[in-house]
Amino acid sequence: MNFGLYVFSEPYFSWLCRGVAMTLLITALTTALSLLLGFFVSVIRTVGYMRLRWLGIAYIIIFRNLPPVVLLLFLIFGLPGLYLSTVGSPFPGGLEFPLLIAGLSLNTSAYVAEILRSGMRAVPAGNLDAARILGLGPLSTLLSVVYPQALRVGLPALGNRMVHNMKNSTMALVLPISVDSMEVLGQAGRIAGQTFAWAEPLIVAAAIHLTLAVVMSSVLNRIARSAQSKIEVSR
Amino acid sequence: MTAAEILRTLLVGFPPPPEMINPGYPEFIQKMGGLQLTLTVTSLGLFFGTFVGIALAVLRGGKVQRTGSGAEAVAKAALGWISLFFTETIRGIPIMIFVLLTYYLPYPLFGVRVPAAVLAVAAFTLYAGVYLGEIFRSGFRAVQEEIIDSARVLGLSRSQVLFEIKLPIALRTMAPDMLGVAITVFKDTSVLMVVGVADMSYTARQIQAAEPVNYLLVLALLLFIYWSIAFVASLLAVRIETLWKGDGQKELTCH
Repeated sequence: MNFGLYVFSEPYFSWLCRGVAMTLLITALTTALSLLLGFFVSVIRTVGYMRLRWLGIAYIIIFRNLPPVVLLLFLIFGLPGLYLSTVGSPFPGGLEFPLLIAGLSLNTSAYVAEILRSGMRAVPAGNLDAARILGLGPLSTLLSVVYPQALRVGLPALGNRMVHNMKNSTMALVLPISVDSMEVLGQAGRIAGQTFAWAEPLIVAAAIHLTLAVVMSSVLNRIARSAQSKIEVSR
Repeated sequence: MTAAEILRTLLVGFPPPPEMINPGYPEFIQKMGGLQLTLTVTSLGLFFGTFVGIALAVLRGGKVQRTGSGAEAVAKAALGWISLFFTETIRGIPIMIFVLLTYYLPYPLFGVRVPAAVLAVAAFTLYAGVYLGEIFRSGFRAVQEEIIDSARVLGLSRSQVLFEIKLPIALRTMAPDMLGVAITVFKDTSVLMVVGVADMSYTARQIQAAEPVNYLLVLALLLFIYWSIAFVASLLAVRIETLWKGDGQKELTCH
């Protein structure tokens, strides 16, 4: 097979560039939203009210055991009357993109909540006593004593989840996403639709993802390591 | 379609048209559909993936095996690097792209037409293999050197040490993680719908196309079936972890 370099000619090259930008955007949005959701779920899991705590556990159990593709299919094609309600809504471009972000975030947030919880377990119990003696309330103890430490402990795993988010962005392929908001694989599929050859665009998409994953995980690892060394110093 | 018919179709799929079946390859997997195919691809992928994992783990080796001399050491190091490269490449590519690559590359590269379901098994064999390989490697590393040494001193042969000492101990620490890989593979087979393999999620979309009225019921059933299987398996993994990890520890301290 002679590898066609046509993938790097216009307009395909700019499609791929747009795809890379969208992949990074989806990754950033999903990571931010899943951190937020995961944070709330992990807070809920520590409060004294048993019902709220069970709600947090149920959330984690539900979303950890669902394949992202199936969750996305349910959100996009399953939620009733969705297509009728998009006209005149805040999302005139269709709900596919926001629902993609929502679906991927729901999936990841369950893992984030677990990571934060196991990070909270690593906080020495003496810290809580010290916070109480200093007069901190339960919420400020959580926010200024427990979470900063839990975050540092969980940083490597959270970085992993971020790389996972980037990989999961390819799940957008099962959705009818508009051409402008397609990520790398979607754009590769668009090229294949024009040229009737999948091999070259796919190999390029795989290479892009591989490079992004390697770069992202090495950067995140470095950040995690420097945060870890700060813990060592502070102890 | 009634609810019962929808459920039945989700479980076994639509019968494929006979001209789609390639007689040069196993027919049972080409005739399957729905949850049946999902579970078949998962279990075959895990079964063959175990061998891939063992091969990758052996090639990487431990620090002990790296000590050889001259050409042997160089060859071992090279094989270890190849195994590492292979593992990191497959782990770095999203499963969606990996499945598409295994589906679209064989024809332009080798000029062979292989049924999509067979290629799906191949894709998940490699995918499960790299993750299992990592687990095997760390599992066997967890077996303490002293135990192996004392077994050798007691006169056990190399194969006895492997099958009666190393394997039982390593298996206990590895079992929950192996089940975790099984759950991941089961969940990730849902991406096969993009290459037209008639697994459960693809079947659900087929039912939706044939009968748009019941779309919510179809997707709710799909969601529930995937969820309940993954949930039960994850409960099992937690149970094994609490049962066996404690057990393994006890054994390590007793002997």
